Amino acid sequence: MSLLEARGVTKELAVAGAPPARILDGVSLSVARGEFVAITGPSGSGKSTLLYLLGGLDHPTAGEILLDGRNLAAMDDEALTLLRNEAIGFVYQFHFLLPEFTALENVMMPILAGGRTTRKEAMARARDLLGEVGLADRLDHLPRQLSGGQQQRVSIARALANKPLLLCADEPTGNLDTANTERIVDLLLTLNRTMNQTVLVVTHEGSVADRAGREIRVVDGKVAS
Amino acid sequence: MAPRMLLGLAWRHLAGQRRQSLLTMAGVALGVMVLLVISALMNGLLVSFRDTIVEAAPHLVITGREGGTRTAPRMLLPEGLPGAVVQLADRGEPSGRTDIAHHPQVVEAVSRLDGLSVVSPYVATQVIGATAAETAPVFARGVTPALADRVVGLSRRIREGSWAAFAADPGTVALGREAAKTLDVGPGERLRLIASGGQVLDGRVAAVFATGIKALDEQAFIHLKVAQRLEELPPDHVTGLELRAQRLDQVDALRSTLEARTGLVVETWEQTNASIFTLFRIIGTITRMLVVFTILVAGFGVANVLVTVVLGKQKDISLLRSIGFTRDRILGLFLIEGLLLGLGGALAGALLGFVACTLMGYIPAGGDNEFGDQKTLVMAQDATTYAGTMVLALLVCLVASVGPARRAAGLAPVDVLRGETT
Repeated sequence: MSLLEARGVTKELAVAGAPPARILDGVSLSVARGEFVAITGPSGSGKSTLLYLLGGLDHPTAGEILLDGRNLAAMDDEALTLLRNEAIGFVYQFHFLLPEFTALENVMMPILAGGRTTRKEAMARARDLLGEVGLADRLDHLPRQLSGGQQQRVSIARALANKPLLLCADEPTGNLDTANTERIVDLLLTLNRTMNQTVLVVTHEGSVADRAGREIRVVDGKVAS
Repeated sequence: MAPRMLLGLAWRHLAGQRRQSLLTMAGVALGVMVLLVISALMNGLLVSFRDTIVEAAPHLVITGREGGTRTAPRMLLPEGLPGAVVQLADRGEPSGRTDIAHHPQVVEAVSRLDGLSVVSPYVATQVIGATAAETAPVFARGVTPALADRVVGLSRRIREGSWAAFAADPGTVALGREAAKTLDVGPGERLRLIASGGQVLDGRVAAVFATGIKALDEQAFIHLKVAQRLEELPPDHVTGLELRAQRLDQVDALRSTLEARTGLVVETWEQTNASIFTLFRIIGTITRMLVVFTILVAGFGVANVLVTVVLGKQKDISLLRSIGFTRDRILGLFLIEGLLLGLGGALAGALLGFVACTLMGYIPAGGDNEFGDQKTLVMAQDATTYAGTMVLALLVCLVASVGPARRAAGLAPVDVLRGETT
């Protein structure tokens, strides 16, 4: 049974003084629990937009997106926000860490936002996660005191904070050098294999896509393969 | 979500804009401080004036004439012509005499009422005062010295001569400082008082007093019987009765009772001075309004800082939204930031206001004036004004933060993220 399923997903964006631009056109796909899927495609193909829709950051213009049986397209903003907190983790090309908070606090943020655990438990969980991504000695560092690769690892730890069903990564290595790219991909693969973490990665790097279990290619707003 | 977390986020956002945040709080603090200082000054002036009135004026006055105490108009005097022929413009009595007849019985009846400490009958009369050097109109008040002293406490306000000397000799006059100055006369010197009907008192100044109330310091106090003779009143007729209450908060109730029992006109000290109290209130309201505008302007500063934070933190806001912060939480976050700015400004303003008020309390005030005889500025501070001003500042800041907060809450995370990815 698939964890994530998209049925005829279409996304149009309003353009001033012109007809809406169709970014995605009737995309259908499914991702099984524990899969590592790379979404690839040329620039402007709509792959990031597809990831945002699958991750519940945006509503499709038409179609259905089912995550663990729940239709994201039918949820209102608040329900979708709470679902993102509970079930979806995000990693972006730019780490998007809160600059005023330490690595530990950044990882604790989604746990505390969920309000389901105590601060002490959140801190223990964040500490464990940072240990798993190899940053046990950087807990109290501010983002500006970390390298690009370290910042991205903190953001991966943050994405895993609430044990999400789905980890969405948008060009997670797009801003890193080769060595760090390798480390991040290794980390994602390890998470996928050891924790059975379902991972969706948008990338235009062949080396990353090659290591994924499956590649979904998006061209001109449609799934090409 | 733990409010502590929102508070922590809000705090660090503001700390990230330290200079701007501090400047904004300084603006709020300045508004709060100025409002507190102005309020303390205005209230101090009012309290000082009120205390002087309460101390030196009767709490209640009973007259037989509708409209309150009789105040005779000034006479028209050619300036610089001492001893010149003068003309009475008006005796101030529209029709007939409105004095209180059989005053001993009225005094006895009134004295039986609980809550009154002194009842002092008086006769008011407008006379011409003449000395060797000057001639001028004087408002004279005939009293029983022992009783009048207990009402207005003049014996404690004697600057020259002696109240006892005045009390002991019906042929003497106790002059207010302003009247003594006008007539250029001092204790022991001769003073002739000429009534409009031609009756004359050839007296001597026994004492000069100063109360700080100009209207009182322009008067001459004479003995009741002398005033009755000058006014050609029968011995049991007086212009009115001056009363002192045991407690100020009973004055209004006493007024109603007295009016009902005597059928006479009774005026409280607040009614007598209603116009000046109203003036105080109007000036106070206008001044405070102006200062409230200062706080409103400070509110724009708060809005400005928050708009800057919202613009600078769009990525952070989008991230927070993507990890589970609902729109309401984002709204709450920025409202808290506005409140933090307001709270910081209000606390600093209250502290500065307290220090400023305390220091201003040492500034010399001139003393002995219309508004009391205090030697330094009276700064009346009270907790209610502090609390009210701080709440006002907080409300202004809260309202000012609504716009930026709504803007932040309305941000769609994907719009910002889409612009950030390649």
